[in-house]
Amino acid sequence: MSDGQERAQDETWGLDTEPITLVHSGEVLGSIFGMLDPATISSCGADGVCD
Amino acid sequence: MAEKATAPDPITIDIWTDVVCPWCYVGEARLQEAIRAEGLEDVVQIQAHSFELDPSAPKMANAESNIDHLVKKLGRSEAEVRGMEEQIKDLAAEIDMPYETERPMANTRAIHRLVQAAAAKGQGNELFRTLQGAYFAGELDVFNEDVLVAEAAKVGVSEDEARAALEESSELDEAVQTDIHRARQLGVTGVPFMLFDQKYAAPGALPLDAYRSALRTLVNMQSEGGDVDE
Repeated sequence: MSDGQERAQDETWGLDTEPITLVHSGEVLGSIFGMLDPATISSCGADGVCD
Repeated sequence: MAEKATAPDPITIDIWTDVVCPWCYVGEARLQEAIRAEGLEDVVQIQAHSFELDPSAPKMANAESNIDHLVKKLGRSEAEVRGMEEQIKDLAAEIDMPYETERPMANTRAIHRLVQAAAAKGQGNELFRTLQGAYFAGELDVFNEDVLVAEAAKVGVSEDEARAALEESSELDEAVQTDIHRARQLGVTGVPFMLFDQKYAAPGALPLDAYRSALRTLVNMQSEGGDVDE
């Protein structure tokens, strides 16, 4: 899916130890994405409903 | 050969996604545009991960119209569903992406297994992107097994391997489940879900400028050797 390179799957992930910055409700805590209006974020749920 | 000392560290982006997810299509296209705009094609490394959009969707052999599927699923009128599709089409057009509002819809688990087969050959992203793009352009019926096998062959997955991957009993289903399990660990409830440098998560399709901001920030962080203050 990338214009860049596909990398091998790895098992490090670091998800248990690294903080994750979540973008939600328009309140961004030190986010790298800048301040976002929640109305500009759209997604499809696991029930197949997109909004 | 030793790596050049000046080579920047890669920016990794893990994306949980589904071939038939409209917002994944739009969000990932915006991300690609952001990568190009920032000149980071050789720096960003993307890895697609399986996320089954709608496990309750009919099996591939019983694919139905996405419009009919959503009318039944949402309990809304056909006009409302078509209106929703037209809104997404307008947003796709903003980034010059074709968007067919009437498409087949079915369960995508087998497609995820096939992409995992391609991923084992380092071609998962390529196959995913081909199928996703052709699906939303209305160019391919991704629920036709012969179509899937033919597309997989183009990235080096043999017909036997592809047909085996499409079977429910395929061991590749475990790889799909592993991706989904990781998504659950992250609290993912919808897609696209993008994880930048294994730390910064973006649930949903964000505006183009948000992706550009993130990429610029990560490049700056590399040069400064630190994280974003929280």
